[in-house]
Amino acid sequence: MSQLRRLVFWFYALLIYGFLFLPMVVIALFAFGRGDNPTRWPPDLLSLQWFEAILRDEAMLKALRNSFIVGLVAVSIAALLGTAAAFAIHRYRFRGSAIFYGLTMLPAFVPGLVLGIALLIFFSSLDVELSMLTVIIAHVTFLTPVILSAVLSRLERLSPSYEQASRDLGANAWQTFGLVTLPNLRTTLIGALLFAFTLSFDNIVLTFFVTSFEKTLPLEFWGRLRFGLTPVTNALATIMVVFSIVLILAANRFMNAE
Amino acid sequence: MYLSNTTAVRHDIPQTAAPPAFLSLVNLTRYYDATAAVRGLSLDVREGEYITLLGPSGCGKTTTLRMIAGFIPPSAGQILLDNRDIVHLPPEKRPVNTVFQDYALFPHLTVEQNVEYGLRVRGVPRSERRARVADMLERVQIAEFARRYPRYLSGGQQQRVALARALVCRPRLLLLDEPLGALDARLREQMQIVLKDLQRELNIAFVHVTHDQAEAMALADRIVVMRAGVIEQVDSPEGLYHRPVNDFVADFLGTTNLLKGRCVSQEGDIVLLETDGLRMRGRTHLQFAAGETLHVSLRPSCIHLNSSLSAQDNVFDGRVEGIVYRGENWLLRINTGAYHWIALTPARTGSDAGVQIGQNISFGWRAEDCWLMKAEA
Repeated sequence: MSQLRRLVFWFYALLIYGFLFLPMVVIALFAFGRGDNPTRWPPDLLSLQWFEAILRDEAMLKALRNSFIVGLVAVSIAALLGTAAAFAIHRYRFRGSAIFYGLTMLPAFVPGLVLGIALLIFFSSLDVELSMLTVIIAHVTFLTPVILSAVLSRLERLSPSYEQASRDLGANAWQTFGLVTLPNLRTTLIGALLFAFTLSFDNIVLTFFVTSFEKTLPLEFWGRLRFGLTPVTNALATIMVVFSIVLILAANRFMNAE
Repeated sequence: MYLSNTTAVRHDIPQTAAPPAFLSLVNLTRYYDATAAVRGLSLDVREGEYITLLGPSGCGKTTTLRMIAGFIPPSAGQILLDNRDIVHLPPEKRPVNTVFQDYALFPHLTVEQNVEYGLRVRGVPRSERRARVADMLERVQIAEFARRYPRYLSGGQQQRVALARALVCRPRLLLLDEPLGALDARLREQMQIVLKDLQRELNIAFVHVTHDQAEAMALADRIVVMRAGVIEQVDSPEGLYHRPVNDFVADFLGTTNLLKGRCVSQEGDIVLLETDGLRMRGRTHLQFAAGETLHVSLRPSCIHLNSSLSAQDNVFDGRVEGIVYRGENWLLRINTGAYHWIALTPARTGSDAGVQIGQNISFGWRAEDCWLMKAEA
């Protein structure tokens, strides 16, 4: 690459990343500011007081705990359903398997607003009281396709002769699953779980429709924004962004490892 | 032919009585939708025998192998092991192991763990496992790579691991699906020696699928030639080469001059025949009626140039149209007007082919080297 092309390349990259990340950097800077005006430029660095404020904030901590509970439980259930569905689609070409696949993938693509309203109507028509449980069910609906597609694409790249070789060498179907198939899915599964957890952790629209009084972190955050920006919300936003970035990077590492 | 200069110990099999068959395929048939991949195939496999299934792609050889392994259920027919039908047994219950075309080594296990796998899932005690794995790694000469993962091995090394992994289970029968297909020519010859030596040392029956006739000839005690789902002929390599049952087999094994002719008369096992205006004699063990169509196969190495052939033999005049040096011999193309003949003459150090392009020569072959076959309806 010539000097000029290199220069143009870096300028272009900087422009894109600046466009994507500058707003988040600004929020992070304010989060570390000393003053309590969250919008006056430039922020008066450097202080951790707003992060400490979060640790003392009971409602915030409760929301954080809720988010983790919802994330962990929903991801676990989605992992079981998604993996099982991926195996079913991969192993058996049954009548209507394409339709089954399409329907299972649907919740990942339907707008959260539509899915939220649909679930709300569904729950109320069955007289199911809104709670953490309904939030978890809602999250499972859109996390399952995430796991399904990741596992399915891995299965499709996995040579069928591994399983045949295992059977040929004397292993039964269960031994083959445990000793050959699962170990070869492991990295993909871990990656998909981390990615799904990130999606659950950041979800707001769907959660908004199907929760009652229990709030997840994004909902708590939303609730506070109605009373205006504060340095505390900036600090919280910064934590959420960093947490998501870490999870996504980890997920990527695993999914590309194989 | 490749085995002459190996150092491995060999226990020669007594050549007296053929050992008994322990595995019989009886009328084995497999349909895919309406088309038959394998049709009414019957074959006996004897103890300690090396069989190759040879044929072009799509002839049903791999399907046959996979039915024996248990990966594909036959549409009809039986697989008898010691006179018991094993068609309904899953692969893991059959005393048969497979070397896969892509080796199928488990990527998440080391070489050692791969080889140990079959013993582990069968619950063989750890100490015995260790000993058997070590012994087998030694036999195929990959002990130094025991701790490596398969992806860090070359194709030839992976092939040896696949072999060790299957053989360590001590199967009654080892199935090999185009095992040398992915290797280069030199490595392929090395692996042929390894395969043949191992098979003799362990005295395990091998059934080896290949489309490479040279490989089949080098390895097999018996070759099964298949076409379009049926067996064309089963015989020793020499038998197939010199006594093919039809033009397909004659053409598939090695190079040959194939002609179509008509029987003029037969006297004992010698037939006088006519083809494209040429009259010649050939040998047969069949009976041909006068006027009956027949196929003629003449191996290029049976053609002699300018030699003292007698009047009983077939002698013709032709023009040399091509000369190719092949190291051990010269390959000549000779034109007699109606036909282009391929002839091989031995190459001696420091001499040329003895003929030039464009030269008119007299050439011929003995009647008994000219093999006659029934023309198919």
